[in-house]
Amino acid sequence: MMLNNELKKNPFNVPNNYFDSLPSKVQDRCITVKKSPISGFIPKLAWTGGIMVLVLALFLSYMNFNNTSIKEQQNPDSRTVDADINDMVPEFAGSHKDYLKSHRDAVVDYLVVRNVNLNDYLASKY
Amino acid sequence: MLKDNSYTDRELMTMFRNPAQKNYAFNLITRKYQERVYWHIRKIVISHDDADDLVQNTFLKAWEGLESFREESQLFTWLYRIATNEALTFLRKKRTKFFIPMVDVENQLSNTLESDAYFGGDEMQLKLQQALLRLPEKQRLVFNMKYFEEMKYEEISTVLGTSVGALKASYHHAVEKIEKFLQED
Repeated sequence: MMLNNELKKNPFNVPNNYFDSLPSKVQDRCITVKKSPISGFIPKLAWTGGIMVLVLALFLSYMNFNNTSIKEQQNPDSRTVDADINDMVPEFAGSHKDYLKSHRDAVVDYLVVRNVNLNDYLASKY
Repeated sequence: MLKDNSYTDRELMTMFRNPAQKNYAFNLITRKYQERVYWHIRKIVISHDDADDLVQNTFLKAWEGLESFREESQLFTWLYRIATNEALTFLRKKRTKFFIPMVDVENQLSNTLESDAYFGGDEMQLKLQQALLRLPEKQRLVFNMKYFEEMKYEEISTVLGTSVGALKASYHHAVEKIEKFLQED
């Protein structure tokens, strides 16, 4: 059996009228949402210089995730980026690694939700 | 009155930045992208209940971050990035919570499929989903986006932050493994 268009059909279902009610459920949660702890967390770190450490270490973590399959495939395009980051991170991460590890989710959220372009960010700083 | 999905992203963002229209615009954004985001998450976490929670979390985070959204990115690739992160974080927490190795979570999801009231696929579709759950996480993501969602490699590249070359290789490996699995028995 090979992959064919028949198998492309979506095999999953949802409850009746699910997509009719989802926007109002989302809206209700948006109305009641409190200020994200991330928004207070990150600026404090910025004052202490920790923001750079967090951003770089999380970028490393994110790139490691992204490059798992790349390494398997020995793709030279992205190895270059990976190597650059690996070279940079030890200089900044230092003794903060445990701290970064424990706050990983918060920082990844920050990077993804704020759509931070780390290359631009780093370029503006260095 | 235009239909919800007839607004461009730029028009929706302009509305969102107008305080008087902010809630309405976000509602339209949710309506425009909810199905794509939901199905993307659902294929990762399999269970409807989990996907329901995660799609709400995704839009909640989008609500919090939309003010700072830069329009050089496409809105839907940004939403996909949030959704992917939500789904993968969920699976990672699940592994950590139960102190079980990665393969067991995928096995658990595979078993869930067979008894899932909201899975309506036939035997081959079930087998395809089980084959997918045997893939490395990244290959599964790439396969879902390319095969089911028919996204361009360039779009997938933006979502996952991986080069197009690596994605093509990843997809190729995934297809090989899946076809091998489907030919067994």
